[in-house]
Amino acid sequence: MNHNALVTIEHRRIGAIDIDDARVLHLDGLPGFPNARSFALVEREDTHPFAWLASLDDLDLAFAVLDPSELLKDYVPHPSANDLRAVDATHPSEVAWLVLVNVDADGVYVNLAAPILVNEAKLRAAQIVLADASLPLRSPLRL
Amino acid sequence: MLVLTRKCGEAIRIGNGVTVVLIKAGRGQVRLGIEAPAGVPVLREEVYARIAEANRDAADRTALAALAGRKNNKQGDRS
Repeated sequence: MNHNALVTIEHRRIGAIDIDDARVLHLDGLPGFPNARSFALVEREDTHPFAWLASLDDLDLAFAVLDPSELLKDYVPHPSANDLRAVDATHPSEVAWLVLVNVDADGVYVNLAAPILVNEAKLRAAQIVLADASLPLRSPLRL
Repeated sequence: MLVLTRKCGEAIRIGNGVTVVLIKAGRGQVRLGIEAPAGVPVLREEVYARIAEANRDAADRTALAALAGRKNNKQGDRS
């Protein structure tokens, strides 16, 4: 089996993306989108520091995401043992967080209540509802 | 929808991995214990619904152009 085939897909939300089939994230449990399970994590220079989780099951579906270590340095959620198991990890050093970005007319908002936990080595990701109920679903982002 | 009647202390198994136990029944509410495999999220319905709505909102509104354009504007402001 070839794990390094590079395929270009015309994604209807974010345009042409090169998909290395060894870099496709499997995302379990994204509320609202139960059938979207394979996502390409796409870095685009023109939208940096925002990246994209582009669904490969639904080419009209893509989420803007942000690595919180870039702009939200105080936001360092601690993954529980169960959170780690959801992405096939055993130690926090194996995982990283992405927050979902929502842009509307009055600004850019990030979802701090339910970030995406990513295990790059295993290509697994999951949206985690953090135990801290004070974290907002819509937090304004200062750029 | 499957509807079952259970007494306190009795349980329901869903598949091989999930067990729901009726711990206590009171007036207008019941207390449930849930055992699920590691990594299977268990959420209150209203929490799931709020997250799903936020996800749908983010997916619908956030266009590539909105973020690409934002950076271009910022660069323009600086120059």
